Amino acid sequence: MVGALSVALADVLMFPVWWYTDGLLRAGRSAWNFFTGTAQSLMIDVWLKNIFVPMFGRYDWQSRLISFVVRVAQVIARSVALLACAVFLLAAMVIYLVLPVLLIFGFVAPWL
Amino acid sequence: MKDLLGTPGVAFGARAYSWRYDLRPEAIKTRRQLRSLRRVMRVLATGTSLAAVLFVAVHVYGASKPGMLLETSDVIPALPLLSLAALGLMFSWYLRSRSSYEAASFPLKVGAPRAIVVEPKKSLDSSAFFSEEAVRVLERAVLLAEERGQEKVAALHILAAAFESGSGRVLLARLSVAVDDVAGVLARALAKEAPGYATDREALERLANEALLGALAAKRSAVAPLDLLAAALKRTKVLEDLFLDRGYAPADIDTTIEWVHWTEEMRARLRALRSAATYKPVGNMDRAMTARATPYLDAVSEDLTRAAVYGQTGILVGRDKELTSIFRVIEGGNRSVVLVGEEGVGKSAIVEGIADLMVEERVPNILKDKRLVRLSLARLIGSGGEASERFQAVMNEVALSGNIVLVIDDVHELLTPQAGSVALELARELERGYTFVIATTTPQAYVRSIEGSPLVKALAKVAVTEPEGAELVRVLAAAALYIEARQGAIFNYAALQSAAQLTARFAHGTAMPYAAIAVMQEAAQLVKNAKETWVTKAAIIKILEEKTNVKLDVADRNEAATLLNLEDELHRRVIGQELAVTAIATALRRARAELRASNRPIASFLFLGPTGVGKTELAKATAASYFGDETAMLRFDMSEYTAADAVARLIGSAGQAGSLTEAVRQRPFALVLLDEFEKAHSDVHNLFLQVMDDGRLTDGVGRTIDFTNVIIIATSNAASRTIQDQVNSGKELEDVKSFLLSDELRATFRPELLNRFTDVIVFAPLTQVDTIAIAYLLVGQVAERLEAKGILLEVTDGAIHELAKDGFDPAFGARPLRRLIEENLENALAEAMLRGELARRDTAVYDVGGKLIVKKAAEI
Repeated sequence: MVGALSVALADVLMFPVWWYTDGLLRAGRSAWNFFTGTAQSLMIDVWLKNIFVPMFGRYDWQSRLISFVVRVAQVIARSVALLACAVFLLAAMVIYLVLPVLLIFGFVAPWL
Repeated sequence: MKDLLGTPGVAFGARAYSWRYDLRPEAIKTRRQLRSLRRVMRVLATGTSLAAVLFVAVHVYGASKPGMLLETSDVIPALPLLSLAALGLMFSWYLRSRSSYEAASFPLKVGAPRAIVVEPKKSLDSSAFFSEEAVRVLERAVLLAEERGQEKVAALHILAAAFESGSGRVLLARLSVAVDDVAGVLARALAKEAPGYATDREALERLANEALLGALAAKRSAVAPLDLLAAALKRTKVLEDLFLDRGYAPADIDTTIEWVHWTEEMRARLRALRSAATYKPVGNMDRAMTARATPYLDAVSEDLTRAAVYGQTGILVGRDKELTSIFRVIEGGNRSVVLVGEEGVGKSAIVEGIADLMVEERVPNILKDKRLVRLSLARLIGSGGEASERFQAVMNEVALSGNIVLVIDDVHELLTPQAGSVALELARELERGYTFVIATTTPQAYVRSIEGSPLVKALAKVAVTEPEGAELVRVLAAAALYIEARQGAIFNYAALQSAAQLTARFAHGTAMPYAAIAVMQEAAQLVKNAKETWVTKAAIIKILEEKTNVKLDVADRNEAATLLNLEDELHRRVIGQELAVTAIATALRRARAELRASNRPIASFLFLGPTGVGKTELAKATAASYFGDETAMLRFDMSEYTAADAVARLIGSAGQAGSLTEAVRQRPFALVLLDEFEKAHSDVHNLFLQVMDDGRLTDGVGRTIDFTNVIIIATSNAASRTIQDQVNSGKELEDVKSFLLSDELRATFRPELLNRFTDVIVFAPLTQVDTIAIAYLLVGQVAERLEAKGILLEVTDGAIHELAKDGFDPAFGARPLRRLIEENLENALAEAMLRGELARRDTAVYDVGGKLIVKKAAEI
């Protein structure tokens, strides 16, 4: 039992260290997975690859022109969405990093 | 010392792994306590944080007044509590990640691992590749040894621990072996282990190492409890007897263990497919938005990729060879393929498997972001109007859309007159190269229709054969998962195995695996209707027996008695002929106990002897005893097959079915009686030589006809003169047979043909005594027929002896006797009945001199 208790105590003491090492790694990995998942559903690569390919199988020059414009607009809109996602995730990571400091502030705030 | 010598390990590239995880009982106990402590701490942390949030909520609600906004000064006092709540949640997450266990994946792709002896300090820890459950099994084994005060942690302890695990229980359930039975055997064996203090764990580590190697050999990257169980079973034989008693050889146990693993793998594959499906578009549009609407196509087709996204396709097992060929053809030259295989061999399963792979995008680039669409020929051709016009409209849409791969099942249907010029148009469109198709057909249709049509150049042939052996069992295991999910009945291993083996042998006309899957589905329904849970071998056999009309299961006690007394049974119809009856009975017993070779007919006999001695009667009696029905006899008069075209008439030619092959195809469980075999053309003799050797024939239509479930009896009058003479001169039948085989028969039959028969049986000419017995038998048959009319028949012994004496003719056997009984007894009875002297409930007494007396029944 003594062995188990000392490890449990070590658990408590190691918590702050873990937060900035293994924990940070886990949080970062989750954020990255979320980001790649979003990128996959936005399919910007597919739109870019087909930027000159007419949409809906229409090969006349008018359709080609319209397709190009629509595709450029799509690429821009989707890139903006992906950027927004990246900004959001970066913000979340920053909050993760400063969260312990915020907590300390929260504990002492009434006495400041 | 141990360190110097090294411990067992696994080498892998430049790395060496050995067991480094601490398995001393104290360490195990400490870890268990720690797990409990962490659980308690998590509950406390989460509870604290919930309590804090609740407190703040109540506090804020209590302090707030209607229409008043919260001010900073209100919030600040609550901040410590909110911080506490956040801290509690963070700490809880931390503890969860600390106690979570994830087995590492062995880097399988680098090369083949091998067993070595390593220095522990110079090696990496192999325990990382063990699943949490597997580590628990090892820990439990160590504690078991400690509880029993046993020095050495042996295979027995691991077995006991592994059978307590979840997958251990599943394994026993699949085998239909009770947990208590296994536990009892193990407890008795454990009680005999040497006592001592649990210090020696080398055996345990070696076993863990073997489990790792076993898992890696099966291309699994992590070790599961069943790998430990399999390794332990190889070390100790204690359970072998129990399993053998339940009908399982060690190889069966291995396959069942594999089955439980496959189930896990298939679940994982389904999960992967489901998560990939979220990214696959289900509409007509590809991701690049280059496709266009396809109303014509949609009206005559079914979208397989969409079905795969919705989980409506079955999972494909194996078939790597076929998939590689298909992808090579498609990728290599943008060419189309035709899958050629028998009905039920799994062509559709391969096509649906491709749809699954397309959903996961695990396909060559040319198939990525495409739709797999199955064309319905019935709707294309059969819905009135011009088929080729509709087809052109469809191909137009395919060309414009550019994201469609067509599947055309039974492509040979395009070559029928109703389809018009569709086949030609398809060939032309494929030549243009803008798209390609995956078609299917049967080998017969390929030869008959596709070869010699314009399609043959456009479609590369990929043969799809029946899965066999382990692959077949694997396919059926996958099918079992679906049937279990749908019908709620669960298969045990014996059921799966018998579905694979017995269906292949007894259900004809459909290819494997479909034939077996159909039997499994029916068996599951049977079990479900009976409100039971387990599909066992008995259910499979019941379905097969219904389909084939043949008794398949291992002889039960009543039937065993019948088989053991088969001689008596046959003698009830056949008088004398001891040697013949014994030879038949022995061969049938062998067949029933499954000791015969399964790729030949059940048995084949040549009956030699003069006419009327019981050859045909014995054949009928055999059909009745073995196939349960004396009409299960296919009789061929070989004197009709003396000309050169005899073989063609028997097996058919040029697209025509033959008389013999067709009869056996429709009734594969029967006795084939070949009367007057010596008169058949010599080519016919050669034909039966092949049947007796291979157990099959190919008919004129190209079908393989199975002869492994027939009994062949050829009868012959050849040499009957010699038989009579030699028997009359007092020679033993065995000697007569030897003489015939070595001398006289050589002129009629080729020696290799004679050698191929299971037995050549010489029928003795009838004696006067035999004739009397036969007379009793025949009169008995007349009496039976009369009894059905409610009339009793009594024939005096004197009359029977008189009939036997008058009907005895050594040259014609019992034939004249039968005629005599017909003429005298039956005629007298018929006349009496017609005159109205003999009516229901009367008794007819037949006496010497052909006298018939009627005893009228008492008036009612």
